[in-house]
Amino acid sequence: MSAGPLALHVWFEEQRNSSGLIRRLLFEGVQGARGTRVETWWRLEGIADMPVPPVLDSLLCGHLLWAANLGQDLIVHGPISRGGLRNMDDLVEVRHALFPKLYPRRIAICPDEEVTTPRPEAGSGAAIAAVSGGLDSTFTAVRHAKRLAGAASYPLAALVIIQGFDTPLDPSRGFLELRRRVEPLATWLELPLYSVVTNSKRHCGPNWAHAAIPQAGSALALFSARHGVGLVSAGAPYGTPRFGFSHPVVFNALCSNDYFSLVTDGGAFGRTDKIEVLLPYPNAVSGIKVCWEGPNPGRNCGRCEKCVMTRLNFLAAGVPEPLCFDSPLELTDIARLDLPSVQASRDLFRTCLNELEVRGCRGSEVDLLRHRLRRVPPAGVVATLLSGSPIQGILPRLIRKVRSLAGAVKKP
Amino acid sequence: MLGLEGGSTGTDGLWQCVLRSSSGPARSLRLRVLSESVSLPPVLDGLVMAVLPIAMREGGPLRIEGCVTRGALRNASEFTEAWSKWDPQRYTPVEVIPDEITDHARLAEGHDAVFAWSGSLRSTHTFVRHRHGLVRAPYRAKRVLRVLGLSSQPDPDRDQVESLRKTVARMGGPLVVVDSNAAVAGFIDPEIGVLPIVAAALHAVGEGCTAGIHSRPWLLAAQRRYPRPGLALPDLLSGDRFAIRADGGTSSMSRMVRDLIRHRCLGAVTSNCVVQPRHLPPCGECPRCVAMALALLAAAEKQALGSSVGLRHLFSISFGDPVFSSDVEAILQDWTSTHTVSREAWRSRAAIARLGVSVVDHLRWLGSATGLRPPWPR
Repeated sequence: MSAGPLALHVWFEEQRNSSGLIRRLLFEGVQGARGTRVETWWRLEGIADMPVPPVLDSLLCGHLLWAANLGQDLIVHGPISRGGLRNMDDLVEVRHALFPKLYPRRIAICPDEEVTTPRPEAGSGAAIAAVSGGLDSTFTAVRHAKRLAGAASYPLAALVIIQGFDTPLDPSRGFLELRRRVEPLATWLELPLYSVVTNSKRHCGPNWAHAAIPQAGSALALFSARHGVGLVSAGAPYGTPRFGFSHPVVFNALCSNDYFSLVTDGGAFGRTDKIEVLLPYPNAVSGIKVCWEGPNPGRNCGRCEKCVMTRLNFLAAGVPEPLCFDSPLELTDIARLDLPSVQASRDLFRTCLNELEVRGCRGSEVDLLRHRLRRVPPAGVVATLLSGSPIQGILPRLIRKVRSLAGAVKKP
Repeated sequence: MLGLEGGSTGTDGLWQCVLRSSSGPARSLRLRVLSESVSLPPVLDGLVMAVLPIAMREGGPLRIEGCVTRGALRNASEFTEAWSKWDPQRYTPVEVIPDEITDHARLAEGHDAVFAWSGSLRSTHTFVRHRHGLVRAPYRAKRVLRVLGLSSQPDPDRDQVESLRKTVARMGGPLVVVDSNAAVAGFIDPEIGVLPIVAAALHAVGEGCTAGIHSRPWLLAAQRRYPRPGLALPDLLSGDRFAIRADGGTSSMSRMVRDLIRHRCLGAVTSNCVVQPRHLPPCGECPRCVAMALALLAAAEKQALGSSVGLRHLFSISFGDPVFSSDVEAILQDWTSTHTVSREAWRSRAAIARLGVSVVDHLRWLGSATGLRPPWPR
């Protein structure tokens, strides 16, 4: 397979300065609005010495979907492992097959060097985990650091927090607050907490949900010379109905290569299951920070969609007032939720309701959530069909009328 | 509590285990490697994977008398947790407790692989696309594996196996046959399917190889309407010593047919039929046969990879099976032949099926919105 004439050329370089290491991928020949030359950089804060991984697979993997969206092949001026090449080709193939409009071409990846790296001995590589302070990543860190999975636990040796994903690059104040919130967890787990600052999200492609895990894998792979396994946490569990196609575990696994394995952890646990596992550890629960919409990156606003969902998860776990929130859950918070269709966060709230019901939870919060979920139209098809038509305006009234009639029918 | 005792018996190619349960009779799984001398693995990863579905149904920990790799232990835990999350009434997570866990196993160097080949279009395509470099960094086919004893249907006899062997040899891979008693002994879970047994057989014949490759059983796109763990799971039947990898799931059947057209010899040994055994001529009437015939029509290929598709199939075949409907949708999108009347007829049929799904979806939602039915979508 050879690259086309409009291929992107990629180089890697590393610099050291007073604040730490800076690693870069330089892309030339970009057919985009931002010019033909772009660069992605990762700054390893406060780290003066971290060997360069022998292959570029993982660093490149975070940008594959961006290149696939541009429709440009990649010519990599550096070493790529054969297993990594195969996985990246697979990743592009599946994304192209599922979203041909977003990724119009199955691009070719052509390295200068296709190398065979020595495979790390199984079990010998210490793991490193990405943490954001959220419920999922806190669960993963605690589960493995405290060996709650028994002999199946990974030997977790370090945590990484990334600036540039959920927290903006500028100003850095917000990130520092987030880091301060996560530090007690790292201290309690007796693990070093590394910071990686990166602009890689700018070159993630058209859908951040598709690229988030490959990009987190890129950040973790910066440490792969010392940590052979990177742990990222799963979002929706395996059994979620209408399996979300954001970052399913099966695709995340394709970000691994011959030298570094990216493992998605916790896919067999729902959010409430995770809370139940964490409840005996108040140090972990008090630091959970799920909010990404509120004004303060170091605190949970308690009102946004993610905050409300997490509070309902806590409610299902029998904790109405969790340590990580400053104020109690109000019914108006549930009433205000925006649940436009199955494409949005509806599935997660539906799972939330399932978890509440399975645990026998009752109360006005559960009733209101059920009531809200009943009225979510399927897949936005109704809106699409009626878009621009006169019936669109009267549809809500029509539904209310049908509801009242149905109520009248049920009463006798 | 379940106990598993297993291993190989000398040089006769028999890899077996006995599963003892405190609540029922002991069951024995046997995998006998026919036709080639391979060293059976020193760890029990494959056998553990084979018995997981039963262990999940029976519940309780699974004690292993023998050695497994740490990776297999992790994967087995994840596998059982995933299935139990999906259907907690049927499956429970299994704690695997081996006598010995090894951290010193590593994958073989190189990129040799064993390809599981059932004779289906997908498994044939997986083998061919690696064999002929249709993917980047393909695996080298060191062996091709056929597992017998996976259903109640008759297996190919000695002559038929010999014929398969010759065909596969012409394609450039020696055929290895593993005879199992999995179906007879009740080791095949109706929901999870044959994959754990196939994975065990791949482990058994994986000597000198890095990975065992199996094809995904349906299009990844079907997962949206078919939300079960199968395709959503990463390669959890792997161990540290040998990986089990899923391949494909992205090509339409017509694409696969076009890729296979130049390998005429495969026509006689490829069948998607779910009624007849794969080594016999397909029935031509089941949904998989119809999809195959449609793929041939779409690829303008008239030679016998299956039977023809007729007008009656338009009305007799149900689109309720999400695997079939997603296959047909993909074929219609990837139609390269000049049979435009057939294409339009099937396109209309698919559109009607889609409309039906949409109408049912909306009715359910109306039921939900009016409070007559539980919230929809589920």
